[in-house]
Amino acid sequence: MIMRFLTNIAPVKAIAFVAFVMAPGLAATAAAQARQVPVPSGSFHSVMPEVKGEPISVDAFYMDATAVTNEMFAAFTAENKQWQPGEVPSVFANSKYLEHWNGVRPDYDKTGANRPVTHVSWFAASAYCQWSGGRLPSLNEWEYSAQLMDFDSPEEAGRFTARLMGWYSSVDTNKSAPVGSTGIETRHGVKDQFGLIMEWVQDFKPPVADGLSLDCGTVGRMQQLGNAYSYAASIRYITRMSYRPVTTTATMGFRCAYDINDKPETATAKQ
Amino acid sequence: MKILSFILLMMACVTGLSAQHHHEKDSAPGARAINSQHSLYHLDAGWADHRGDSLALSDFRGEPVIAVMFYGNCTQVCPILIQDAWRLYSMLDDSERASVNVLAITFDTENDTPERLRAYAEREQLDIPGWHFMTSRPASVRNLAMMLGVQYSEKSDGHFAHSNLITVLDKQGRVAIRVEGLNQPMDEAAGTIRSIINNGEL
Amino acid sequence: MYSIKEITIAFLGLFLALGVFNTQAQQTAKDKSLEYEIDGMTFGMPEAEVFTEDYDGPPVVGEYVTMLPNLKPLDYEGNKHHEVRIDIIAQEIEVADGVRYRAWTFGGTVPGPVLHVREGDRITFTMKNRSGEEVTITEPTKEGAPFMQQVAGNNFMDAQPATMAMPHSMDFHAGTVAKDDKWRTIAPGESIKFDWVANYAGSYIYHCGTPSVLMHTAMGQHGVVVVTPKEGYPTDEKVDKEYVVVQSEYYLRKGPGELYQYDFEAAQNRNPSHVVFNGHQTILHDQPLKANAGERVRFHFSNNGPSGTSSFHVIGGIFDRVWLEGHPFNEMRGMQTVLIGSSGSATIDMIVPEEGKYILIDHEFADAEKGATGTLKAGPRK
Repeated sequence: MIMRFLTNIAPVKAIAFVAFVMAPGLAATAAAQARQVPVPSGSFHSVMPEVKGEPISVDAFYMDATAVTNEMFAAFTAENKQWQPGEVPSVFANSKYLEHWNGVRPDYDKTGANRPVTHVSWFAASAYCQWSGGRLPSLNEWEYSAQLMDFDSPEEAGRFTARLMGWYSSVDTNKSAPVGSTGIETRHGVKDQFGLIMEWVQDFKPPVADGLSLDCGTVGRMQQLGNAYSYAASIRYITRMSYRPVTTTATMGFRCAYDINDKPETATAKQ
Repeated sequence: MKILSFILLMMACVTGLSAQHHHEKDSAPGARAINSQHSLYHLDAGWADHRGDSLALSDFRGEPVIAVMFYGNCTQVCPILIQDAWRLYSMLDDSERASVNVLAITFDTENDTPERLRAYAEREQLDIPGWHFMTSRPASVRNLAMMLGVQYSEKSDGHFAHSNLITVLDKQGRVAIRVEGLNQPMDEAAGTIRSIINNGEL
Repeated sequence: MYSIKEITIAFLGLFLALGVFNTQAQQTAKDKSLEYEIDGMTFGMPEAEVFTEDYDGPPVVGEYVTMLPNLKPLDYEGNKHHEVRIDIIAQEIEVADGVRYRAWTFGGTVPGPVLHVREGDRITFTMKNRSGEEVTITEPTKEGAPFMQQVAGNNFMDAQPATMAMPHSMDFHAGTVAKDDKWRTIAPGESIKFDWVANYAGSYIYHCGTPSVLMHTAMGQHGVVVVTPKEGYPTDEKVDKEYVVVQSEYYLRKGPGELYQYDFEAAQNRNPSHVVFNGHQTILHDQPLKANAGERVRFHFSNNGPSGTSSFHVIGGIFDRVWLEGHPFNEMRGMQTVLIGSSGSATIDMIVPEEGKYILIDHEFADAEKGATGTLKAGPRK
């Protein structure tokens, strides 16, 4: 009936009208489609191993190649108004939720294009990932992927770790960079797991099974691996563990993971 | 004249003494600083229980709730935790129990199907009115755990490492008291449940 | 005999007094259920509260909270209940000529503000983790501690607001409490509030206890509380000047831009880039301490580390009295140099011999040459 009404006006206008209505949806879909890459199954030595000295195995999964951007998150909040700033109850995000946005839309003049979305709580990140057909990566998935990097030499690895420690102690949130721009990439094509933002994971505060309390000795106890990379990792673990699910900060964003069965092409099924 | 002064003096003493008494009643039972303003019923996901019923958490609004998280294949710790929830439940008399729902939520959404949960409930002799063994999508279970403050993660062998917690929710789904750990005394929690039943909102 | 009217008024006054007294008592009665005393000291503080507040006022509040090297005199008898706030904020500061970095701080300076209390005082302490907010400390404000006016009037670190949201915590060495409760780590945006009692005299470090503590302390999160003994020190009548001096280390290297950043390898290898008094390599030369010949100067000296020791000496002087860790019982006399370990302190009396310049120094010269020196300028005898 609507089509007949429209075609009565004029076919061209009708097409224009339909295109006009669909364009934001198409754009949103396009924006919401970050590239996903497969991360094959494997194992790694974690600073919080299940069994001391033994690696943790991780099943294959898909991961967003880059972090979720303001553009992508805006598509999500446009379709899910209960996640717009001002609508979200304080049980799901603190008062600084999306404070870098201009009300319900990002402020690209202020933040730039293609920047990772920050000032999002764990609940918001989790809701986004579910909307896009996936989920937050688990801590082990994220950490496993992050260490799949190739260095030309131990010296290069050392320099990288020093750079990482520098970043953990002095990230300048006023100078954000676009996703994919750090030059840090795993061998499977996952970019910027370091150097851009801290990222939420499903179980960011893992159960403290062996009484690992957050005290002065914690970093020492995490040094099973005896290398500088594990020192930087322990800083990251401790920082991440100290947040609350409602915490939002200028350095905290996320990317999504997908089960092998939920392959990326089916992400359009989110509607 | 003299009588008036005497009466006034007595009133002064009584005021003093009753105000003193008022202190003790006011001292809260040492409840930890929880953010009890937030109702868990903001979570609107769908759940299935061991009877095959479809539920939402907000279906339990209006009565106190005992919530505990576990998983079926957990042989050492979870049985103690479920036993602790039963111990709390048993401290209530029959009429109080009729006003309480117990939610036992599984971490293991893959294996603990409603059928498996039913078998578990029957084995533990807990397939009784008011008790619901529940499962949902993994993300919904995670959301609930986040709000309760339960940490868990899946291990390589399919088991779950998890913290141990029993929570009492008030009639609006807000956390009223949390009991962390295993084999903990439940007297305070039982008192909290009674207060909720008797005092309205809490 | 009094009239009925007078008696009635007297009783009504009694009611009022009782009511007020009871409200007062009611507030504290609730909290004191766990407290007990041993040897006149109070233990068993109520549980800390962690909460969210909208507070955006001055980050440092408290009548007896000042900027180094100042110490606010205790102008009251006996004990007092202090209400103190020291928020955690990030600031870009200068620590040596041409060396600026984005620091993690208590209250905006490194070291943080000095809190002065008396042995036995109770402190209700509130702290908000505002590391993700831009907070300016250099605008003069009537509210807030004397620290705020002092920084506004003397911004020698050229502090500029910065943000770096991180979890943090507080550890007052002067407080005797359970660390898993009071020294808890709080997320950015959260606040913590708890009571503690200064049970022992001395100068005590406070610092962030969130791992890596080496990193958090080296990044700037430390300061001191000066706890004056109940009975004071034997020479109190004769003291003319009092100063608080804190030694600490920085582990910095040039970052990709203009600013310096934390050098964790240097920190792990105990190889500081700068060792300083009162947070800045040259401040105690640019703004020397002052005294006159014949005066008794009291130094409240602390070594906040994070890792080094200090062999504290004043060139040209000898310490007349040294109370190790600031306890009157630990009196030493006639010391040239005091060895202070990391987080240790001493209360030191020195008689200024004659007009001229005296150099405060960490006599471990590897430290001195990295900046652990300062000047005391002495005028003529009055």
